[in-house]
Amino acid sequence: MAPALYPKWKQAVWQEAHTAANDVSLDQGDAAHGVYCALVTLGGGAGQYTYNATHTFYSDITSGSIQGTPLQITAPTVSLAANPVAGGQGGLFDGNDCTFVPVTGTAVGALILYRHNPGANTTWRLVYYYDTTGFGLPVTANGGNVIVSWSPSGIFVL
Amino acid sequence: MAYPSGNALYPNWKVTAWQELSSFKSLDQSGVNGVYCCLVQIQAPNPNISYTYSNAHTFYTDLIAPNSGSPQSAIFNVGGSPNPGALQQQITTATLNIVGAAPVFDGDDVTFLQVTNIFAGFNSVGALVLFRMNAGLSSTWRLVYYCDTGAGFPVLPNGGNVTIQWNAGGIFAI
Repeated sequence: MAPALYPKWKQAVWQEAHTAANDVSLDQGDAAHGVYCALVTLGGGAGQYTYNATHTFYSDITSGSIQGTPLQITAPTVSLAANPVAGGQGGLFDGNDCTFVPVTGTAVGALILYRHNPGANTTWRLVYYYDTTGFGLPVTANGGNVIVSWSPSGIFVL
Repeated sequence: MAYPSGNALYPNWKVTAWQELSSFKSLDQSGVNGVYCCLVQIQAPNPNISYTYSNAHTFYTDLIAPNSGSPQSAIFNVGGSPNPGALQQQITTATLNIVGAAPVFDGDDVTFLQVTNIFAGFNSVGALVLFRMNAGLSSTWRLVYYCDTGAGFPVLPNGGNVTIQWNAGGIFAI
């Protein structure tokens, strides 16, 4: 599938109850409130994840499908940029590349970005799903490093 | 943006939604914190009473017509009750529901009563602008959505009512 922003997250950023709770922003650089990247194994079986537009929180990610330990995307930025898909301009999210050291387990088929907060992982909002093949995906974890190098244009734009 | 320009969410509003410190951006509130709609004049021969969309526009006060003496000289006046003299009407029963894979903002149709132009001369409603109001100054009311494409545009107000009937599918999707 094409990369997707989770609809529930897009909805939450414009709902008063969630913006007031400070759990939806993407421009926080501290570990407790940052945006994290997880490597996941895809499929419909045990320990495998399948994207669903209704997924909302980290706890919606299938148990056992995350390979290695999710990493924070440091130096996050939110800025204006051209939107090549929708046209016009939109909000661009960008940040530093991620190096997962080391990664073992099964094949990684997708990346999931989520917004951390100090609460339970049932409140960490899923933000972005990326499983486009090519550009390094899927990758088989063999105990070495997995480097996620974002596009020079940024991670995603809305 | 050249005319006809089409409809657009203001980019600065979209960015704001992801920023921790930016407030007054939600779309699901009512009353003074609701989403409001105003009628604006575009492409008028006299630029002093005409608004031109810009991606850089952020707040209600950006609706200023260039070189005009009035911050909102491009906005039409609403003459009748319940808000005589008001420049905007609230979109009541605002909702933000997911339709398919996208949140859709929707609300009740809006009727502007006894619309007149506060300036003489060119007199044509060419666009709608939606903005998120709050109890503070209008320089903090965030511009959300610009719409100059749709059935019925332009409207030539004659002192009668102008009704904005939104698409059955909603006002805009994000």
